[in-house]
Amino acid sequence: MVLPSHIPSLRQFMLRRDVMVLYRDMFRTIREVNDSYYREYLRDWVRTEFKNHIKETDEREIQLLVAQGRKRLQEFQTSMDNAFYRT
Amino acid sequence: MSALRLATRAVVRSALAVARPSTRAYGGGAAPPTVDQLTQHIVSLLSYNSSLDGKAIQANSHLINDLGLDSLDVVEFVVAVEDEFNVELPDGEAETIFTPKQAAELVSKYHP
Repeated sequence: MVLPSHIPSLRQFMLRRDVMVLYRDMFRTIREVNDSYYREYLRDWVRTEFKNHIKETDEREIQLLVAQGRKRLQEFQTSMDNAFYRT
Repeated sequence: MSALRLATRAVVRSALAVARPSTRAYGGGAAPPTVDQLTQHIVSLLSYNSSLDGKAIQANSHLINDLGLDSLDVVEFVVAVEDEFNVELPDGEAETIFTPKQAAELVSKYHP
């Protein structure tokens, strides 16, 4: 059975969910930043970065972007953990 | 999440200055807020969003269909609700939030 084109495939659905989960994880991490101006800067930055790619339809490109985003988030979380140690 | 990160979060949150009305006043022995109270609070929280200026926000306003937000905005809204009410909503249930009332019902379920 062939689904109508406007209905996402399972892979597209899962990919979309990966994007949403990454976006949510980023915002949850950002709220742990102590400085309110830096927090707002990071939110604007993340929002802009995601919305710049909101029209991307190539699945492999989306997967790559999500993987890159996940890596950057992990690096940021590590730097926050290290900063706690230093203070 | 590691205990260290949880502790970090607790320290950071206690230092946050809250300029807008917060449900932190709901804690400390006060009666738990009703879903209607939470809904009104969430509606007022949404009204701070400048992209929604001039739009009538009601308890059952659909964030995407009625208020014109996109899916990323909805995710951001849910995180803001978590922050406002100091709750962590399970991912699976957070994805079902599309109206202020749905957010309030979930917050009521998980509010400490």
